[in-house]
Amino acid sequence: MTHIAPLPKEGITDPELKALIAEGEALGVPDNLFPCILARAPEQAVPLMRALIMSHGQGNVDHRLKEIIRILLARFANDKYFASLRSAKARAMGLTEQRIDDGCSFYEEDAKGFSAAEKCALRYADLCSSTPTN
Amino acid sequence: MLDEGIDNYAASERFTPAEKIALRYSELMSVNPDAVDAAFLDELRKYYGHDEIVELGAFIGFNLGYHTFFGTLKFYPLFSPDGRLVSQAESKKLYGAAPISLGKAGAAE
Repeated sequence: MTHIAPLPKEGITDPELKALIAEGEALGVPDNLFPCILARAPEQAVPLMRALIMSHGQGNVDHRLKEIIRILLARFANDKYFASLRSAKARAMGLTEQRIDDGCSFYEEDAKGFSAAEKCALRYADLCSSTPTN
Repeated sequence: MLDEGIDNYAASERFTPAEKIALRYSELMSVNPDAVDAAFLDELRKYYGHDEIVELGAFIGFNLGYHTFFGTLKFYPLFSPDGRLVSQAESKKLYGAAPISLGKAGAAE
């Protein structure tokens, strides 16, 4: 039971929002629950979904690394919904649950096999969440 | 009004109950998101529709995330409180290590 009930997906008529929902569903992040809650404020939902999908699914940084960071931050925030979602694109690129778990704890250990750049990105996310200005 | 909203909104007589609960919503989202529970949402619903709650929540969430990011970049206001274009070094001196009330900054000058 969500605090704010999602609109029925079939009731969403805005073509741009429908396309973004479909894009999210194809990626797997988010599935249609979150956007159908966002659709309560449709003029907010479109740009928010666009930004969310763009920052996660597009860009030059390795999508698998961004997927680990996304899950790390969702776990920190106790966001069980987003922490449970998985990017189909990252999976297709070879990201495993073991790798996600490795990235979410003790990622600095050499045995985890993260590169120096990946460790730095994970530490950046970690610090931004825990002690951003120190 | 701005400073009172940040420092003293709960006790202030200058805010409506709807404004107070919106400010409380932003405060809880930042310091104790688990307290944004069913009872709190019921209280919010007395003043705001679901569309407005989603709008407020998205706005608060964006601001929490962006300000965390922006705060790590250490950039300072382009203008002094009296409207002069200032360097980043001067701005850092003017505005200090933590955000302060512009009203209080103006009064101190």
